[in-house]
Amino acid sequence: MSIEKYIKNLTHISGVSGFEHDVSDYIISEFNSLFDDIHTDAMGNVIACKKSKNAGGGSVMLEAHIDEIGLIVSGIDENGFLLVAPIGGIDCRILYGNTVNVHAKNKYVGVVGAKPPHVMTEDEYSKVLGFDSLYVDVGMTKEQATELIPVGSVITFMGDALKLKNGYMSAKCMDDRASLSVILDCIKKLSDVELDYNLYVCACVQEEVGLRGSLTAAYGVNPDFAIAIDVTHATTPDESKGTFKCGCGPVVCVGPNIHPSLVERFRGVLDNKGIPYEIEVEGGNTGTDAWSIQTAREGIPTMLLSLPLKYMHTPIETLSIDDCNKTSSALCEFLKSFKRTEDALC
Amino acid sequence: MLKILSELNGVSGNEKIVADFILSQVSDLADETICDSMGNLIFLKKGKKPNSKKVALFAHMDEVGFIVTDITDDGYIKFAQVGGLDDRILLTQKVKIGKNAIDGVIGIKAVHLQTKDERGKVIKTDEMYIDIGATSAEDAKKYVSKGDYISFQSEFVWLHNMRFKGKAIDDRAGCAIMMELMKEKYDSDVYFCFTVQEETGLRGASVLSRRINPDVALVFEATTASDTAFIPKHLHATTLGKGPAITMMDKGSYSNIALKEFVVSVANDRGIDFQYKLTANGGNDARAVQTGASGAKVCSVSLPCRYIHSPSCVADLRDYENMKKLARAVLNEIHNFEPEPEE
Amino acid sequence: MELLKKLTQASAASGNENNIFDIIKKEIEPYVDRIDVDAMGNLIARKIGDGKKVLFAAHTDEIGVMANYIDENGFVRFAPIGGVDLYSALYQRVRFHNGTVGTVCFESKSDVKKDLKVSTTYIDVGASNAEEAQKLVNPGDTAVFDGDFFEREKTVVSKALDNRAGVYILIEAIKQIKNNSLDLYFVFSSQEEIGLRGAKTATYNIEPDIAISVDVTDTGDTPGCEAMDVKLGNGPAIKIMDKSVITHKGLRDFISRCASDHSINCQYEILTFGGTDAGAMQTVKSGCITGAISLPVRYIHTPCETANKSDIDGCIKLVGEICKKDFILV
Repeated sequence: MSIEKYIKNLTHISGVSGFEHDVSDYIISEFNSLFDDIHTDAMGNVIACKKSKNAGGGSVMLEAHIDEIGLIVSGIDENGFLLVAPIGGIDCRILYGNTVNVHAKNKYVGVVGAKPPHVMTEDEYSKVLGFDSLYVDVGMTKEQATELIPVGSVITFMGDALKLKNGYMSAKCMDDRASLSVILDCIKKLSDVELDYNLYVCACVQEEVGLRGSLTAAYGVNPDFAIAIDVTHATTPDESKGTFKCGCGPVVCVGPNIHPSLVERFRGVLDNKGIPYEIEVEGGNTGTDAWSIQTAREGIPTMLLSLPLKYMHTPIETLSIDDCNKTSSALCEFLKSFKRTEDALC
Repeated sequence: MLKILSELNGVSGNEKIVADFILSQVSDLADETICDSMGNLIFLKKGKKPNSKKVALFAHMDEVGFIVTDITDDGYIKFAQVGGLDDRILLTQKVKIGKNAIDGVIGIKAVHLQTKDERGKVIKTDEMYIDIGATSAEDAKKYVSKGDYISFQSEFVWLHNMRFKGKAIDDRAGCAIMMELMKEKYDSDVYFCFTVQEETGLRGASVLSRRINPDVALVFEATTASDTAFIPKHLHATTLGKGPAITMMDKGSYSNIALKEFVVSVANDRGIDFQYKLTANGGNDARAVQTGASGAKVCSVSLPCRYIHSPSCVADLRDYENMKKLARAVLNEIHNFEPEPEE
Repeated sequence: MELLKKLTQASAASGNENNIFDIIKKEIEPYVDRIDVDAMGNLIARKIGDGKKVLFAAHTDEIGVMANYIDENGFVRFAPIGGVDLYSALYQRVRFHNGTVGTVCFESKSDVKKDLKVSTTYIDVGASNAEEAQKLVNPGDTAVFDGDFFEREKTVVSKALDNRAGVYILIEAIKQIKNNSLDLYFVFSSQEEIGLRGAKTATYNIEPDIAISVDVTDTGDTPGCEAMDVKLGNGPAIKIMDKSVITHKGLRDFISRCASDHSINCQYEILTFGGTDAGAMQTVKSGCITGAISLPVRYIHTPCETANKSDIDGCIKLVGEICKKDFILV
């Protein structure tokens, strides 16, 4: 499978924060052949290991989160419309008119609705629709909705990945399934390579609600160092500050969240192999799982690679497949460039 | 049929794909076919007992959408609305652009990057842009040109309770019903008019009514349903599941009282569910037909439709079936319609 | 209800939880195998069993104020402890742990609608100068808000139902449990109101397989309130999420089954603000399976917190039944 195919398949599955089991089941059933051991922990993180034949070479953790933002049914009104609350950071301005899947015993299609224009005052028309004026219409009566859709059911955007020109692709939850696709692609490339250290892949839960899953995964794995892969903001016509152009390769983060000599070595390998990359400077919290992994246990040397992504947290998150391929190659070259983890850290 | 029609793209001014499809399906059923210069399609079915009454049925083929106004240096597409759309439903929608149906998405900067002020502001269409993956203006121009029409991408999907969602239900629902009605023969001469550019100002219907100058006109439409959350009952313009909505009066036309009562009596005789449209807002081809030439007796029958003018219209199949039943029954008896002489 | 009254009327602002330890100890001593107090001020009772380690946590602290400056005229300035809403605090009585009673007042020249801040409010303890005041209060002394306990036919009203009601529920449940196979830890946790702190360290030390917090939650059944599905009188609320936690689905389903097997009415809770001990417990070490049972309470963090008595009984029964089980989680 290509990265593109991984992305297509993985973004198709739904896994709102706290409700990631469909994604974790899929990873375990589809990718167990790439690993020697694969299991989930108490939080629901998938922890997979490619074991080394040589003991004592240490261990490395690659991490991407598998949860996505979404909505949760918080009530049902007298006419069967679903009242909703957000899980993770959602711009409520993009919801109206979108088609969604409601995940209850079965999957139901719904439409995000709001007051129609003819009952709206001029004033209301120019106001943003908040969660108190949006609802999901699944065409049910109150009795049906109460029976079929319990309060607490989660809701995701509907729709398959869409290919655009020049190798760009649009889909929901590219954040962060695209990164997981990169990791899986990298592991596949390494399947014939004998490494001297144990290589762990952690597909973590509940990033979008507070970097929760990676914290316990890092504690459990206790690696010598960790590389988190997430998305970062790509340049769009309405924002150029602090963003990255798509198509220029992985974005490598530097700052207090990042282990300095590890990233220096990583950049050295990329320069050597002629793989392009951009540098992102973050003076504090990177807002990614790297932030929580770094302070797990007695502290874990951590690095962060990011894929530039447009329209983050919408149903049309857009990125360049080329960036994914370059990131996979970068990761692969780096992992092959040292024998034991202590070599990479010095 | 409704699914196929809904998924065809025919923004006002660019209805050709829809017209060609309708033509391919029903031209065999007509005694006479006219395609006028604006793109309106007119089919005449001669009556079994021709009398002096000219009956015309109207449904519009066009839908709301957009048109490419410019291409930015970075290769993003700027666009304007065609027909009336709420700015707030556009963000993050998937679209198809131009003859080659190029895929694109309407982008917006991530919520993380927005200031507090920005989050509270409605973004207007002229500030939005479409991303097709182009790397530069030059690259984008290979695929898209100024003036290309843009439609929503929205699959026709079934919801619960025989309800469905899709784009352009307004007014492909009316088109589908008229195509169905063309399979039968009626006593009177009937003109089946599939009009263009309703959404941009009833422009197709106005030229068409001058050509036909009908005595009686029925307009098959989709109309807003507001039986939704947070709306008090007295503001429910129409309600899903209560049957087709008969217009008494809207902003554009006043339904002929005798014709309206005739339609109502047919519905009552046959036990067909119907409702009255409870708001006088909105307007449709009926206005253009009523005053188009020497004046016609008009009445609109509409499919109640939530989130009309969005990619996700929601309507009820039972309403659609009842609307078809009512339309067929009215047409079968329209030769008996003898309006009171005007005073 | 006498015990609940005693618990709610005791004063224990965050950090001063030991003020109520004697009440708890006296009630549970005959029923548990061990009682310990740890460095953070958690009181931990254990009922030993061979099965899985299950931890229940109910926090003992309540919101309050801490005196931090006494001016020359004997007025006391303060810092809030926990989520104190100044609008409901204004002109309330506060009771210091040494017995001094003061009133929360506002600088009257300021505009109360615009300028109500900690910096424009003070506590009047009835002193006429600094010296007199210092005999009553010193910087660092803490106080809690007054709020009498009273009982109606169906409801109880008091300060500190958040979370003495949770403490009460655990105490009463402990009394019901006999011959448990689970290895049960009851953590009467400290410093929840200022950042879920006690429960975190207790979980770190105990390393439970399963952790369940027992706390209060808001309701959506009062005029003009935020939309929420929880109602007073509809039974214990099984938490799905709040700002601090999304609970484990298998555990949630298990608790819900447990309730329906024993005809305990219950409801689900989705809170879009606030947090509870469960949030801290879930991510300790390599994580543990975490859930939360909430007692619906109106007007949280005011002197007139209101709860339903049958909801309290439902919570006690539910905790008791959970403790009788062996956990089988899907």
